[in-house]
Amino acid sequence: MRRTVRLISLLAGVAISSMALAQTKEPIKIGVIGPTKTLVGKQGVQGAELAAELINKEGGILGGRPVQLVVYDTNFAPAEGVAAVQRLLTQDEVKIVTGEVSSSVALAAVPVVQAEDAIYIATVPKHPDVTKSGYDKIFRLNSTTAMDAASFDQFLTQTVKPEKVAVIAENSDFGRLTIDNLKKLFGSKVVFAESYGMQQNDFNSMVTNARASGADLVCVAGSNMEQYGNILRSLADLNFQGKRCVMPGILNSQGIKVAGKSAEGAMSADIYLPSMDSEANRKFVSAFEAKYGNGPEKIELLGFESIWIAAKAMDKAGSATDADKIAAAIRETPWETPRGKVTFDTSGQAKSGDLIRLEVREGAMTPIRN
Amino acid sequence: MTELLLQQLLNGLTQGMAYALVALGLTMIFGVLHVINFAHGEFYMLGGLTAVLVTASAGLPYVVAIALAIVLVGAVAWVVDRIAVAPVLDKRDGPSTVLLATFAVSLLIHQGVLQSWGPTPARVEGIPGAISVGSIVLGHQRLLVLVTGMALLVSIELVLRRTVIGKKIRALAQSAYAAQVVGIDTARVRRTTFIAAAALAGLTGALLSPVTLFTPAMGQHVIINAFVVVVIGGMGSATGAVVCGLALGVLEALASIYLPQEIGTAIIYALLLAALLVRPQGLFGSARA
Amino acid sequence: MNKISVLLVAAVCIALPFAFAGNAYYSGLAAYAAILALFGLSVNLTVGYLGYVSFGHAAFFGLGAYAAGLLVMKVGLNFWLALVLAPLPAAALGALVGFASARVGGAYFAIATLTTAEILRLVAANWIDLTRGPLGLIVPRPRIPALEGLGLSFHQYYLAFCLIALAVAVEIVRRLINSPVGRSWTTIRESSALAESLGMPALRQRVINIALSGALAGLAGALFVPRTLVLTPDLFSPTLSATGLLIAILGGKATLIGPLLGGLTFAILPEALRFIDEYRIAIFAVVLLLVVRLQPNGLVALLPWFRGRAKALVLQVDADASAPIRFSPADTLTASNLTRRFGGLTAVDDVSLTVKPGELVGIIGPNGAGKTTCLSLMSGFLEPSVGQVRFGETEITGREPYTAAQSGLVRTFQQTALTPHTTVYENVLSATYTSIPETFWSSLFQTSSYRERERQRSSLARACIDLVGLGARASDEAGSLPYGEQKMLSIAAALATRPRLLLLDEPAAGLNHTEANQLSSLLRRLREFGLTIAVIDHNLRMMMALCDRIVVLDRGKLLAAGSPSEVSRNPDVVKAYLGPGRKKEDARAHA
Repeated sequence: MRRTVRLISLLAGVAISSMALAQTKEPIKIGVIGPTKTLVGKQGVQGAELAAELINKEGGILGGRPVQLVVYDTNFAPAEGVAAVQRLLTQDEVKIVTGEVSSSVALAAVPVVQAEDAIYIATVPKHPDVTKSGYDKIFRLNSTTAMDAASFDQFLTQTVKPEKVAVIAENSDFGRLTIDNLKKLFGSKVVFAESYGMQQNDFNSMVTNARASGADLVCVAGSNMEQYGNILRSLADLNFQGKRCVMPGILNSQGIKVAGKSAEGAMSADIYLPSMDSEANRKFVSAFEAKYGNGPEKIELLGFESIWIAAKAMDKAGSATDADKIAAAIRETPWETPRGKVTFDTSGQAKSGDLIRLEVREGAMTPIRN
Repeated sequence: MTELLLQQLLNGLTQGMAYALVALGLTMIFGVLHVINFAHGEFYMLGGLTAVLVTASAGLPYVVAIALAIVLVGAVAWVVDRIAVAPVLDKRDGPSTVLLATFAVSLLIHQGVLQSWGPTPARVEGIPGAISVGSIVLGHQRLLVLVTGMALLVSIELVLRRTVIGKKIRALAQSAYAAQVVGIDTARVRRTTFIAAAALAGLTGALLSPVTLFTPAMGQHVIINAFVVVVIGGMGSATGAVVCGLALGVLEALASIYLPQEIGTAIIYALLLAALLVRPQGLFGSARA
Repeated sequence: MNKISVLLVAAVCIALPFAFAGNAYYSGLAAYAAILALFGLSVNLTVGYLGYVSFGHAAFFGLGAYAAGLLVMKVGLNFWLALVLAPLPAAALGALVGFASARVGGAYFAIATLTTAEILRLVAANWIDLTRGPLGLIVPRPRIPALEGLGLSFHQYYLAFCLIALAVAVEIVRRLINSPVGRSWTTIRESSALAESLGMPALRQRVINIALSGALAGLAGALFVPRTLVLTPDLFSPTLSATGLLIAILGGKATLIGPLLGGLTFAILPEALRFIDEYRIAIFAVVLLLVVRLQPNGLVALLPWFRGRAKALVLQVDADASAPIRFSPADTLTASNLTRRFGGLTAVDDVSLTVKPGELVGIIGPNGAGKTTCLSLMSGFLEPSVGQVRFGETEITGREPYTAAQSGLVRTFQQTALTPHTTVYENVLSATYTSIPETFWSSLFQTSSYRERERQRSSLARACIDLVGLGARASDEAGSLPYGEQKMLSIAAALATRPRLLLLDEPAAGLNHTEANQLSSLLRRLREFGLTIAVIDHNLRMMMALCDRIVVLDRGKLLAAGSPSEVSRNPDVVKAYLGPGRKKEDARAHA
């Protein structure tokens, strides 16, 4: 029902904007991939859809042509990702593909995009290799683990100052890199480091061992909110008394909601917070709330940004098909987005302001200054 | 050290109870219908979803959630049996075709939940509080899982041994042909078994969702372990499923003290595989396999 | 395969890549369908032909993919070379799992594959140095500059290679299932005891089947590498195993075309539904459900010519006239001091007897006398607790049952153990396994001398069918024959092994008077052809009239032996049959 209403309102929006132009122009298609059947995937798509809607309300791009999204599921499987991207590029004839959560899928997509001389704007994947293919039309919006560490390490060593550190990480590139980074940072102070599979749902034994290691700081590195939420709960249930830190870039309000009271006091950091004080952000947040009934967070922002930048870059390049020109436009423009000014370096990696340090207070992510 | 071992023993028992209860239903269906129910994990997930809807969305007490999970999942299983199991089972090569049918059903249930509820995980408020002795902690909800699980296992055993339907189920598991000859309505016993096993999975989902959180993918995650437990326990053996489920949970928890968790699991599987070479019919299976 | 089909397949392999020229999406999809079909073919080999259900074929698929990927990335081998080597570890794993499980039973195979796949998944996810763990091993596109120089795109020759691999695999499987090797798989699937009695080494054939299946799955996995480009531990996931199993079942078990249809469905349908991305999985599920409800025998049954073909295969048989049948002379079968205990029960107690070349010996005795146990001991199917059996110089005791059959000592079973869903002709043809033997490789390459031997097998089978009087029934389904004819069929199958000594276990049980007479005259004729025979039966009237010599067992002990008239006059025998105090006349009347 909600979906239908949304569909109708979207259609109505498109209809009104086209009527305003008094003529129907051929829409410009942009591809979106991601695990759309999961929460993160869905959040990204919501952000992307909002961007398209706002752009079309403003009258579209390239002389009034509306933006149309083509969304395909990749279900965390590289092979599905390849199929989806191939279909987007050859059947739907899009020039820009955006999205994805899994680094493995993004890495599989890169050569396909390269073969068709198209552009890929990765949203969430964090693995450094995504932007290291040597192909110059790959961009990434999220920060990498290394970028996060550069800012967060200082906070851990100088403000938190743990005696013994335990790391509980998911068995993924992100989790593995986090363990490596923390071991480099803390050396023998890391007394416990373990990874869990993506299907695990009971963390009591792992947390019991972490507690028994005598650590006074537990760092959690897992992108699934049900999993890190559950780890926070197990820590609380087993009366863990030390500090808890959710590694930068993964904490969100859904995760806090599933963790409940046990999330209180957990530390983290991120590149974006919905409470950021800027005109662009206020507009984004209120439009998002109006459309979906709940506030956006980082994943939604990245989805939004990807379409926003893609469309505006086409507009700026004056072409929806010339990949070289569009890529140049993406790379050369400083973009104003809800999180502030976003620029891309030569590898295609996006950079914005510093990480915002935060703590969970009364069930909300609260920015802290130090 | 003792406290650590005891704590891990408790952790392992609750995890093992979850394996055992899901595997028990799966193995019952296999024993009586000679069918592998691919949709079993989704029944478990539906139980969890019922708990979420009843407690978080409707604000009713948790006990109601447990009761409703049994009823609702049982009803869904009745429908599934009607459209995808019973009519397919009697055809030539029925059991392997049912595999396809229940696979399709599992996709349908999963997609249905994704379309209506969405992919969002949710917390279920079970019974709050915990018992702690020294550093050993046992949450009330986990205690409930253990106690209810034990009670369920005992009562299922009693039903199978003492009641008429239980005897019919066991007769059918022995030989469908012989059961038919002595006048047992095999179709009905099969249906009853299927629905009861599904309701058990639903109940387990409702019991465990406060511990593990509800996610629409929880069924897919639980089915793999349950399946391993069923085959290792001896397909169709109720005792085997229960003992192996509990043992797997406890062994995993204890091994986690000394080994990285996933490597521990791999080693346990390898050892079980070797053990099965000596006892090929499954650790508790009857020799007829 | 005839020349026309070779040309046709070659044409498809060449034409399809060009039909999709420049369209990476469609050719990629076609390649994916070919890979899934190959995977389904591999699963079908064990599930369909061997009757071993696999819950973890992803173990072989993933191993093939990782083997190819690691050979490229760690050894620096060219991918297309690695493609040839990649099936080997999967075949070795297949042989290992097969050897372990075939020894202990089919249920173990299900467990072993499932757990092996899970172990490999955990290893791949945690052996970071080798596999890069969950992030996955990234393999670059294996381009072939020489082919691209000819103007071919990567997608075109990749698809061509996939299709060629599939065609080769289908041809391998087609040749094997129509050879003694493949026919032995079907016999083993129905009854491994029957297969062993006909001289088929059940264990070895199972291992061969599973190793081949592993190799094909490994090949499919290796071919999948250029499609997925990133190898993750999910290649070992149960979902993938389920896909293979479902492809085999959906297509139609134990058919050659089935996996192709199944693979096509599983590859194309979800992709074709992408335009309704949100509902595609649900619609796919509904389609599956409909297929299951409406066409439970698999998609293959939808093909109009499928049933016709199954018939045609049988009718080409009688081209050859049946050749006269000869049996080589037997050696003396000597059983000395045989004792067999089951728990506390002694079924056979210190029995010694011989069967001399050219004899027709009857073994009789009341119920529970230990006749069948005795026969199982003499044919090598049971280990005696004490004593030994020799056939000429050959030791029978303590060896695999099939070796007895291979040395010419062949038994039949009381129950008519047959392959019920194949024809009478095919049943007997598969029994020529020992008499005109083939190796795996000769069955695969099928040289002209193989084809000559296949003609000999065909005419031998035909001759055996005619000999037992089932000539008119040759193309009927074996399971549809009346009981008496099924008994005759099992004798025909035994004869097709060219035995030198035949051990018949109650061949007349359940036969009516006419049928029993036919049986007697058949056995007499067989003896005239030079076959030595030992028969167990209850039908005393028939046995007395038929046999040269009678051996009487009672409660596991040898009671008497001699000519029929001597035995019928023996007071112990009379007592055993009629209880004490009865008169001889009664015994004669019963006999």
